[in-house]
Amino acid sequence: MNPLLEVDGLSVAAPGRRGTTYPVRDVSLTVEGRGTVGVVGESGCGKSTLLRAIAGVLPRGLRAVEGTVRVDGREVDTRRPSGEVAMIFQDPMTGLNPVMTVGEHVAEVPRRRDGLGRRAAHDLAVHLLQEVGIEDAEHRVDAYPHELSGGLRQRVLIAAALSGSPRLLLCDEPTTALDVTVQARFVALLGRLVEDRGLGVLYVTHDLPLLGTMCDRIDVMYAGQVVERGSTREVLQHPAHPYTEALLAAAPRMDSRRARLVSIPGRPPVLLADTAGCRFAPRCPHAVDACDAAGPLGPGTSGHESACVRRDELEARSERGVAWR
Amino acid sequence: MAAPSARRRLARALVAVALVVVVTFLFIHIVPGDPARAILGPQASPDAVSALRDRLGLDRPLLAQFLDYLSHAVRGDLGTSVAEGVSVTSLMVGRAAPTVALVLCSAILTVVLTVPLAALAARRPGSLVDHAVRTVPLLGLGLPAFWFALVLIQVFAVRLGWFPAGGYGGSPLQSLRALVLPALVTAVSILPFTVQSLRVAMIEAADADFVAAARARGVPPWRVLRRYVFRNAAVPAVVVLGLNMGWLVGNTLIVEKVFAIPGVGALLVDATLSRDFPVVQGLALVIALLVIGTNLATELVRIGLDPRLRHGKESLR
Amino acid sequence: MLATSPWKRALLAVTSVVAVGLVAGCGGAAQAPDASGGVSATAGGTPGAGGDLVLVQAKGTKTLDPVAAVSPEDIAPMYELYDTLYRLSDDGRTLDPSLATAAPVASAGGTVWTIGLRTDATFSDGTPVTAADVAFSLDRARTSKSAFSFLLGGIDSVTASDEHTVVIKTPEPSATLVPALGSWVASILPKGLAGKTDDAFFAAPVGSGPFVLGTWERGRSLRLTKNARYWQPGKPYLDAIQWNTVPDANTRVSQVQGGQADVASDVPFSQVASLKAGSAVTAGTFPATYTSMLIFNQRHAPFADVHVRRAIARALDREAITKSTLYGAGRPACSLLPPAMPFAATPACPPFDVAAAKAELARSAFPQGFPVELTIDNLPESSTTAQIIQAELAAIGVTVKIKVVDSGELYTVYGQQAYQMGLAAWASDIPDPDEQLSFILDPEAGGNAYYTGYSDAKVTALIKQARSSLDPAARTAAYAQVQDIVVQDVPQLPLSYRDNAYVWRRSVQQFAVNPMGVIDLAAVGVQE
Repeated sequence: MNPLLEVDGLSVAAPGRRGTTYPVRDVSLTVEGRGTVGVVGESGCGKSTLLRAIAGVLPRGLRAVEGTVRVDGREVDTRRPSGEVAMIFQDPMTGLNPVMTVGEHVAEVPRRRDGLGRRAAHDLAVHLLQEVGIEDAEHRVDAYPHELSGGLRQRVLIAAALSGSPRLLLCDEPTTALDVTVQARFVALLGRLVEDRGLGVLYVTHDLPLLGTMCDRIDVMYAGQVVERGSTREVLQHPAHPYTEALLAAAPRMDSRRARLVSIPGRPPVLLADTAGCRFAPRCPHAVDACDAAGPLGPGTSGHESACVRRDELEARSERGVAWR
Repeated sequence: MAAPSARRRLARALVAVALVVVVTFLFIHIVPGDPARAILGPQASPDAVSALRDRLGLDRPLLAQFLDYLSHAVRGDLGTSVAEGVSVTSLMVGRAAPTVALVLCSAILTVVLTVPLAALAARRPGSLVDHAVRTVPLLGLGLPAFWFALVLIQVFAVRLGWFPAGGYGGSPLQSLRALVLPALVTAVSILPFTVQSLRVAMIEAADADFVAAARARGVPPWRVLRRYVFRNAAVPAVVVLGLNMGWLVGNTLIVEKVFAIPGVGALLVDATLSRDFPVVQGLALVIALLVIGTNLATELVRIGLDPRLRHGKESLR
Repeated sequence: MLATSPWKRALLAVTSVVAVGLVAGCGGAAQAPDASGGVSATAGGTPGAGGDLVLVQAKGTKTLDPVAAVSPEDIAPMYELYDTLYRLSDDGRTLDPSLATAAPVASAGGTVWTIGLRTDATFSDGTPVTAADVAFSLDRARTSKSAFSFLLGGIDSVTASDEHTVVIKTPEPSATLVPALGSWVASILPKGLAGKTDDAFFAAPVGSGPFVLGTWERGRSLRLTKNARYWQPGKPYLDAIQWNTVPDANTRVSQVQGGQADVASDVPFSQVASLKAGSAVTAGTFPATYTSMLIFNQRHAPFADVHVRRAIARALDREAITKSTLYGAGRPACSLLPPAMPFAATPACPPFDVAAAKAELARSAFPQGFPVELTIDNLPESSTTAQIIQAELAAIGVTVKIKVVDSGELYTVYGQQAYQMGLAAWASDIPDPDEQLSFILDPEAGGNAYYTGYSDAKVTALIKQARSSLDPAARTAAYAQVQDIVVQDVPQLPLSYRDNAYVWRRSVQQFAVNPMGVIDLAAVGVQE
């Protein structure tokens, strides 16, 4: 059986005055089917661009130049939406059209694309809103986005995303703007939908511990590339890349309200064309000369992949486990 | 709309109208030039001039004249035209229809031209088409409206005979035909502003997350353009159009002259030159009311377009 | 029609600017004149009956009351709606009987005038025109205290001696009576305005002219239709005439070119030459009485000195001023009286000569020159003239500061004599020099010698003498003397005589404009 999503060697180019940069560089990634795959990385690492490329809604000026995206085994055009995936965004306020009611958002695709009648589309909208846990859906259906709280908006976005019956849901940091309790409820909802609908979810965030609560597998992205990949447990307990390690160390705890990565020294590099070697090396406390010749992902001792030349050492060092949650 | 803010706005509008009334009255009476002399001409005898001054009550104290004017004005009597001997109200009513028709046609044409041009430019910002759409209308700003009008007349009226070379009247269809060229001149003069503002608003709207989200979940492209991009871009664009309405009305003064449209603008120019002060006062009042009314209408359209302004926490500014 | 000059000049000025823009920006718009493009003012032969004539003019008609009419747009329809006792001849210099059967019979030394009336003339409502109507109309006009009532000011009484005979008494012999009776002010209306109020009557006026009121949309158009009861057989030829208001001169021209209108007035002078040669349209200029002049306030010290005024007269190149403002549609002026005016002479005008001007100034109390303010209105044509004057007077040490006032304000300033030197203009309303010369030279005639304060007992006496003389030879002599004196005294300095410019379709027959600016529309036809 074909995997639900298969990204193979995808590069996204951004032509600019100082030459072309590559927000996404030779990324391969798979979502097998039902379940959640997490992608983690700092702001600007290319994870949002990756999602938009998969959804076929790349921002103006960005273009997939290499690689393929397959949904259910069929290759999709990254220049336009395939309609088979849905996407929800970081800021629930900007994800909804301020001049349309909740109901219009949710009923739109069934009515305009799938040809449902007005009544049926409306009923479906109410049903979807109930499904995502919105109470009083019959009334909320006529509300405008600005009349709802952030958590409700995010639920409306999910309901709208589900309205086209997608099998794959792309989530771009959907909970960043929400407070922690709302975030927990949202994650629970997502988990329920994965179970009930058999959804595949690709979940992008910079919050690595969060992924631990919901993902089966994690891909760690740095500077447009996947630098580590493996099961959630492996990645979190035996990080095989110094970047992952740094992410874990910088991760906010439950008691911290500040959800920002501040403690990794240095900045992500400008994503110019093929820089040889490891891109994290300049910021890496473990950097050695060999980093200049580092290759792509390779298998480590515990069976998951890392791009670090010293991955085996790192894994061994982290055997003691990391105190996450 | 919250009640206190509505009341405040109405009060402000009334103050503006009152100011216009006082300022116009003072201006037209203080500006040098004797209306009686202006009307009768340079060689009228001093007897004739003083007889007319007497008839017009020009020798009475300014305050008495103003109070007299005010007491009549509040009853809807704006006086009698000094030059034409008919009531100012009837004179203005006859002239208002062509101006209103012209302004409406201009506004409609502006929208009709702005929307596709802005859409074309916003499709690929920075492209050749975008640059062309953004710079070509700017040329329209450089050339004076009357010059553009004359070129249009030469080409479309004299050479091609498609439209009349100015004039207004006859059947509604004839009048409409006569308004095409003047409306075009007016529309072109504000097109750079409206295209630019709608373009920026569209680019902004097109980059919004909700557009990407809608496209991703399968909303048909034309609907995305209409309901998501245009509908959101329309809000700031309507404000720009509304702000430009005053300018558009001002522009009709020139356009009315060139195209021989017997509207309010032509009347204002005539009346000012001949110091026909009751007419100037009446027109200033009506124009002030129109501009204030337009602003109010713009506000209402904005509220209609943007549900965030209708209720909830966001207050009207 | 002096009242009209600010308006006319406003248009001319605006249009010449527009024309420059049009020609500069639209190279193809102007056509080169060709050899066959000569203008004939009476092209087209005897008109056939029928057809509409559309005239476009800068302003709308504001009143149909002949007494209230002041602008050319007001005055033109008067000659079509109403008849007068006498009517301008084709050359515009003499008067022919119209409602009168012949020239008046003067008795009692020229103070009693008996005029016989046609018996076949009726008003458009069918009632006959009688001597009582004439008496009523002339009395109404001369006692109206309106802008032009002064034209009939020299009448003591008007009586109807029988149904078709009118007797007019004047305090002294009057040479200007007949010309004044030919002006629109002396239009004949039904006695007592047929029992109506002024407003009611002039909303639906009844006259005995060749046309009657059709529709009048204020500010937009005035349409007159053929008066079926008009007494002159065969006339008018046209079924209707319509004046449309088209404020912009270029648009007026375009409307004639496009066939929307037949005749346009106040055409930019710069366009006349190129329009002349059109295949469907032609253009031309018609001599008029419009004279532009420099006026000197003699209350202002330098201008009380005749040598200063003479020096300025010699320092100005009137040829150059005329060329740069009128493009050939006029001539440099010498006499105060324009050539189109009867009794205009050719006095010996000292030619343009800077050295002579300096010498003249040296004889004044201001031998080194002086600073002076030149008041003009805000029209480009005035500004051009003023700039030339400024440059030329600088050569004799007179430094001119140009002061621009609004055209609606200009004559208020002049009337108060709150100026030093000013640009002004005169146009006559009757084909007799008395109106002009009295107003601009006689200090007691109301205008304070055209706001200059000039006063010369001999000139005043000569003007009075000419006015009350019925002997043409004596009048010629008196007016020649006046013209000679003012060339020496320079109370005002005439700069140029300006024509009226028109463009019209070649289908218009018998198109002509007399020096008073009036078109005899009863004689005009259109080729179908």
